[in-house]
Amino acid sequence: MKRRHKWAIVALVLLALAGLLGGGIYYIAHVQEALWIKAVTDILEVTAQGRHALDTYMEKDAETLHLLAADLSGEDPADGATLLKKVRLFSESGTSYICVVLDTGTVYTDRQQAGYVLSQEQLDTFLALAESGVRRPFLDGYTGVWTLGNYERFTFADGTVGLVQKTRPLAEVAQRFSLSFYDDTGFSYVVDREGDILIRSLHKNSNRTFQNLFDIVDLQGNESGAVETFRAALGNGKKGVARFQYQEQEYVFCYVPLESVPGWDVISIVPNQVIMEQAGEIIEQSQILLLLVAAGVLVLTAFFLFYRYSTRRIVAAKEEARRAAESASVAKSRFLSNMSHDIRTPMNAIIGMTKLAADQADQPDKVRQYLKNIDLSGRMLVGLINDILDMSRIESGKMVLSETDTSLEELLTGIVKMVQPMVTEKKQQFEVRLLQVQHETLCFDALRLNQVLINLLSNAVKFTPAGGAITVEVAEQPAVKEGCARLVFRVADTGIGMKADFREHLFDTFSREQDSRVDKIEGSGLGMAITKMIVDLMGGEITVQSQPDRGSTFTVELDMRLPGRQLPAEDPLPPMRVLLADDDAATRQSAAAFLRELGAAADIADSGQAAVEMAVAAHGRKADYDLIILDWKMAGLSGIEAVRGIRERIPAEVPVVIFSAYDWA
Amino acid sequence: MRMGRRVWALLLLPALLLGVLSGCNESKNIVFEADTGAVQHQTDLTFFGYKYEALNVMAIEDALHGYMDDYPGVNIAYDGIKSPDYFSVLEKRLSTGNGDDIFMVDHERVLKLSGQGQLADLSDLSTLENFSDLARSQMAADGTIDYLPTSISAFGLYCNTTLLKKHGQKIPENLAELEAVCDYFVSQKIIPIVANNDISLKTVVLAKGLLPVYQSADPAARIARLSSGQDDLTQVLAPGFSLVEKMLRRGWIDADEALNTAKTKDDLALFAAGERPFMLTGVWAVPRLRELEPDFSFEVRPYPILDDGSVLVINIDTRVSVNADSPHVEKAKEFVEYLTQKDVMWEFVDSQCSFSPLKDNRLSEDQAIQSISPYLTNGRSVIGADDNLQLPIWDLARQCTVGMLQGDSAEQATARMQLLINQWRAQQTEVGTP
Repeated sequence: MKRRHKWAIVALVLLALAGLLGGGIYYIAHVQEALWIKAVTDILEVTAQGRHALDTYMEKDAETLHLLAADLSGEDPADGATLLKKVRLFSESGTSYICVVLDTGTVYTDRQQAGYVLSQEQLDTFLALAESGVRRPFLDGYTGVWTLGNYERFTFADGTVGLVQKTRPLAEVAQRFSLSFYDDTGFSYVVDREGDILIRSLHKNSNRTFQNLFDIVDLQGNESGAVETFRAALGNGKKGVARFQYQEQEYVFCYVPLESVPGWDVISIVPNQVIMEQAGEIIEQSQILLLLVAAGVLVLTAFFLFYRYSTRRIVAAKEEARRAAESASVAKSRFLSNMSHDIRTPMNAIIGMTKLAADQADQPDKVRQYLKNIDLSGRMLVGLINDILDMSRIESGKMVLSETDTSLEELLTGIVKMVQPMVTEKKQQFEVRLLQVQHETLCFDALRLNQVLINLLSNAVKFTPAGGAITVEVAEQPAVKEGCARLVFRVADTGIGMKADFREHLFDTFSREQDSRVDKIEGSGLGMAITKMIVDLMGGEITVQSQPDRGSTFTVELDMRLPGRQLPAEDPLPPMRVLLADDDAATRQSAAAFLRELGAAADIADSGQAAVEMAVAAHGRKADYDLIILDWKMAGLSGIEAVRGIRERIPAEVPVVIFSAYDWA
Repeated sequence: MRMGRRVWALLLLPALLLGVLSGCNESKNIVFEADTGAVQHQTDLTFFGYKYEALNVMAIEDALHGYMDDYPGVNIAYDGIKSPDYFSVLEKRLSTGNGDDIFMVDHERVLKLSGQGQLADLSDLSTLENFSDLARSQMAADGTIDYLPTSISAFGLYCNTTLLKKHGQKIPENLAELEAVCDYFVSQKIIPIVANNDISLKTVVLAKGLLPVYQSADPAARIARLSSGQDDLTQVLAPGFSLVEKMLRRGWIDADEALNTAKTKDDLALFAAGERPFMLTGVWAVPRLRELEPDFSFEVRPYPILDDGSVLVINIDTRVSVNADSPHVEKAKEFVEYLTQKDVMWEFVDSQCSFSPLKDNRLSEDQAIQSISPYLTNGRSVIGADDNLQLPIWDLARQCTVGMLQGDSAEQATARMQLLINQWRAQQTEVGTP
């Protein structure tokens, strides 16, 4: 349920983000489009203003020309001198006027002193001009330069048709009316409906060589449909905007038809990138805003989730504290209850026995028995009080480890001495094995480790019935911590074991299994709790494996510091062959490995009989063992019997050593 | 009452804050200072040329913009008009003081304008040393450098390989084969050769007539004698006129059609229609032919008009001169220098399907023209308008072949040539030039 709720929140946040981003992208695209339209509309407007200026300029020329036409219309076409004079009167710098008598083909120009007759080809050109208007740019017949000219037909006094024309160099018009945009990156042309460039801008980016606008557009690989639409719009005298590729970038073409010259358009060409550069700032700000909003949503969500998580943690911590307090209260009550019981019982015994001893003071045997019982109860009471004090010291942090360089051998010898009487009393088997222990001397708190092992062993003795076996194994492993050795102490018994549910509370204070067999065994229920606390204090770990009636194995793993001063390594043995016999496989393997480490070639036998046979065989090969080590107690042939067998069959005096692990007395 | 005021104040506060933050009531007066930076004086140059079609001018466009990028203070405009009108306009502009700063010239105009001192000396341009010996021998013919060529154009026989294959004919390798193929097509009622009214036939005349001169022991001496009139040029060209006469007489070329066929326009349209096996024109027309008919299959070969093979006509072409009267002579020369840089020039050469006039003599990479490549150096090429021949032979030959299209015989064409040469020399004597 919680998981589903969590995913729902994540999905909601993602959905909100996706919505925000989608909306933002749509918004930015919309703004971008709007800005582009605004920019091209502005360019279109500027183009229209440029067109208006050119229209005004043309119209002014047309008006001047009309005045000349009106002036000449009252004259006689045959009066060349008058015509020439009037034409020359209108002459102004940079322009040229002519008057053509169309019927005769005679032309009067302000450049010549007299009229002359046009060639038929030239006359045909003028005859083709109707009414008035502006001629397409043409090469001036005299100067050879491109020229723009207004013309107007009129009628002389005698009805003869004449034509006046005012021309000016095209370059001058181009210079005066070429528009530029965006720091000269955009420019303009005047084109006709077929796209022929009539007036060319001289701005830096403008094309200088192509003669038709569609050469510019067509040759750049633009989509033909779009080009045709553009061509049609231009041909129909529409105003509009198109976007095409030119010289590997997008250009915007804004076109506006001229009013003074039908069929001509002013077209502005601006790189799209330049147009969008100005819009780019707004877009960038919008993008930043969008990102900020998205980041805000994320931050708010994170804050919400963090707040929710913190609140939950606080609630959980409060709950835990409440439970701990409750548990502590329960523990305190239980402790007091247990204490009252565990203290009162031996105290009652002491008081009762004291009274009995007083009552029967005349019976020394009985009094001695009572005193013995009083002593036992007193010791129990002292033990209990010691445990309580230990616990108190550990819990209050007053217990400090006192680590000194100590011999592991001495520790184990002391423990064996302490445990051996109890084991003997209960007729249990007791073995101590050292497996691959490299360092005999280590730095540790011997008192506390002794306490841990004694606690474990005393429990093992207590809960193992007579005839059972108790084994202590000590092994050394490489430690993760530098300068340390990991010692693993394993205390195994074949006792009554524990149930799984009790195992979980094994290390709790005053925990004792509710079992009829356990009830009869004395104990405060503090020993394992203290053991665990000491192991924890030492930075180690204690684990237990146990099954009811299958015994228990406690494993304590401790990282012990290596002593500051290493003892010199023992000299290895001289090259020698050793025969080792033990019926216990673990002991056999361990001892053989130890011998090999010392440099001896060790053969092993799993029984006394096997040892005898191997010794005899070696003798037969004339390769007697240098030393034979035998376990005393072995199934079948014992150590002593094996020695006898060897001595009987081998004349050589091979040294034989018998070891026993049982003779602790 | 007091509460009411607080509520109003609380309601108004956010609105006030919004107003202040959005600047809705802020008055503004932004004053833009005039640009006080140094005003860079801009030089306006104009470049006048006879390259005008979009395909041909792309390389020029790139060169102009490249130059302006390198020289930000210069703005250069280009004006292109188709030749031969171009040359009359050029002369009008120059004669009326409206001459452009840079312009293209041909052999005849170099002779004429150089004599009038209207061409600036370009001998100090750094790119001069990059030109091949052939190009330099032409440029320095009169001792000064009046122009720099930007290509070596070639003239060839365009062969419609599809049609030839269809009729089981092969591309001719010599005159006999040309005669056989042409006669075959005539017999099939197909006029085999598309010719224009300008360069098609005059190049045949020059190729046939001048090859022996270039193959002589001392071509320079022979040309000098022809130039000075010691040897008779008309007699040299006579075999060429005879060959043209034969071509017309045997129906390989339709004279009326040729008279009305403008070069690199009408002729291309006729040939691209695919019904004619051959066309005589400049190799530069290859891109235009491809644009006209992208799938058209053709090859360009040297003229197979010799008994023992073919001959290639070349011209030191697209000659660029600087107007000596230009107010910006130095800037104009800078542009010419830029234009004749190896990379810039190669773009132009490649677009013109020509040879580079630089030392590498590199030929444009179009596959259809690769067969002409060896002819530049194998001793089987003639220069159509050799600068060392101080006669406008290019134009005079055109006038003679136009006459032949109008009905002149070879003999009459030879006579016309003699007449035109005499007139030219007389004209030169009048203006005091050698």
